[in-house]
Amino acid sequence: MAEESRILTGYVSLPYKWAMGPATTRFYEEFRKKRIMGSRCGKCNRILVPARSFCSDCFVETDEWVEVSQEGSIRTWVLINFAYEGQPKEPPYILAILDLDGADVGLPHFVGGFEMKDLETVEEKVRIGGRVKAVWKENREGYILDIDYFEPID
Amino acid sequence: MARKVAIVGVGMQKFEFCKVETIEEMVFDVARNALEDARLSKDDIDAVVTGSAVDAFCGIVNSDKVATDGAGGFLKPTMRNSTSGSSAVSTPILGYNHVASGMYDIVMVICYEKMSENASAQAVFNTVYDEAYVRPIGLNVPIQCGLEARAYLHRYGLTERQMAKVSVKNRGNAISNPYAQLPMKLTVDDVMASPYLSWPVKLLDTSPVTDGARAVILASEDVARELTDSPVWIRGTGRGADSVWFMGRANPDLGRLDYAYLAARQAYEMAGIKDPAVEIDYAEVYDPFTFKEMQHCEALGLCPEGGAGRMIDEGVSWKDGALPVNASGGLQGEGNPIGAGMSRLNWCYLQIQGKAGDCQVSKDVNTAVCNAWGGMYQYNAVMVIGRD
Repeated sequence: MAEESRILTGYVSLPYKWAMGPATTRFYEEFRKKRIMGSRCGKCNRILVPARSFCSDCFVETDEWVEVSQEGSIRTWVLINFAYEGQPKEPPYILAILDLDGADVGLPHFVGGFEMKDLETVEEKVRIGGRVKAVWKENREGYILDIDYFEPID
Repeated sequence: MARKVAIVGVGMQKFEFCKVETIEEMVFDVARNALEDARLSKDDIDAVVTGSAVDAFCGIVNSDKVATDGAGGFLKPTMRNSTSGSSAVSTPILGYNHVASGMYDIVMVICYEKMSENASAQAVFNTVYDEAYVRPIGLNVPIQCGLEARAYLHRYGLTERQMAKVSVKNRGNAISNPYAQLPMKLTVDDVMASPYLSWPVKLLDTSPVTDGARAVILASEDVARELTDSPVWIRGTGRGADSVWFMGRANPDLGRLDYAYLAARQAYEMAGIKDPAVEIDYAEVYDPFTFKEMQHCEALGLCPEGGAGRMIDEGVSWKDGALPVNASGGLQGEGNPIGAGMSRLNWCYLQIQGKAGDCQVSKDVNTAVCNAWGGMYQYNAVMVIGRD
């Protein structure tokens, strides 16, 4: 058979409407007021941030809301240096998993607020265990990007 | 009591970017190759199990239906399996269960993926993430692997140069593999000089976008003994999952893959293996990123926990080493068509049979292990195979 294969081009674009669920809805409503709230598991006392409606460890529903700190430490981080399609920012930028004081789950978010000239500059500012603080946007829509980024405060 | 299950044939084809064949044609090719290898015909197959990871790559939802005809599966019981990337080994485990249960004697297992038909594999991977928390901040696989790699290097005091050696080893090994997409003769400095994508992950720490398929034919003991004098048995299988909330697990350290240790423990217990570093002769370890091979060597007990840096430094996992890993080139060198990473199992079988061609290692191979990884950094599947 001939080793020729025509190419068909097409596009799949499907609109969705995702239910956020009650826990995430409340979590993001608090963002409008610049508050980070977690849901507490009544059994193991873990505070889940982002909030979740149940504790998967204890297999019970969470029923209490607790405010956590806007400051925390960096569990791990990555410097993105390549423009992947569909990314929310132009590189270079930093994503990290942040353990906010008082929370028992890490929050994935940006670390920023300084110029990322080269690896050395970045390493001076960002390290595992380094301290950060939330920087909020002026206009908040009740969404993860209401926090612009977390800035290093060491 | 589970029946013994043997691998009686495998189907290979070249892994490439932008294959000219359709999924159906790719599957037909490997299914026919496996039937020839096993000296069986389509009508001998009792049931078909297919596996692939992400339909959005090829743009055909429920793509398993397309694989049915090429796999010889029509008017037979068929079943599709998907546990993301770990489908590469959980699919043959599902095939194993079909035969071990006594329900079927001969089962065709097909894994395929056509990744190149979407313009951006990483944009597809972004849709794997949850819509409310991490998709909006742009997490994708190389970015999340950057987070994990940093945690891993930090926890165990390992280095980017040790990661680079895995790339040098595997892409170099792929030079001997006629099915490989990315054979390359590299130095550690070449890898270190490749661009940072998501520091500490560099371009040459990653695996390529690949199209390809693999087939394996499984048979019950009676059938296997009729077909061959040297059957290769599936001796152990294991699977493990961790929480989809990768940031809220019981073990908060992303450097240690608890779920992979769990999967390995099951497979070794079933196989009666107590000291894998001594009893395993050969391994094909899931290496979509260089540091994943290192993490998986540790979880599979091929070296001590935290010892993967020494393992690569001391040459243990090189082709002529005491415990060669990925002499085929692995996903780094052979290519990474996610579900069709079942190739790891195919190469374990070929090494045991002495049919690995120029990839054949010089030592005797009686027992081999392979694994695969997927989901939200949460699944692992492990299979141990070997002679009597």
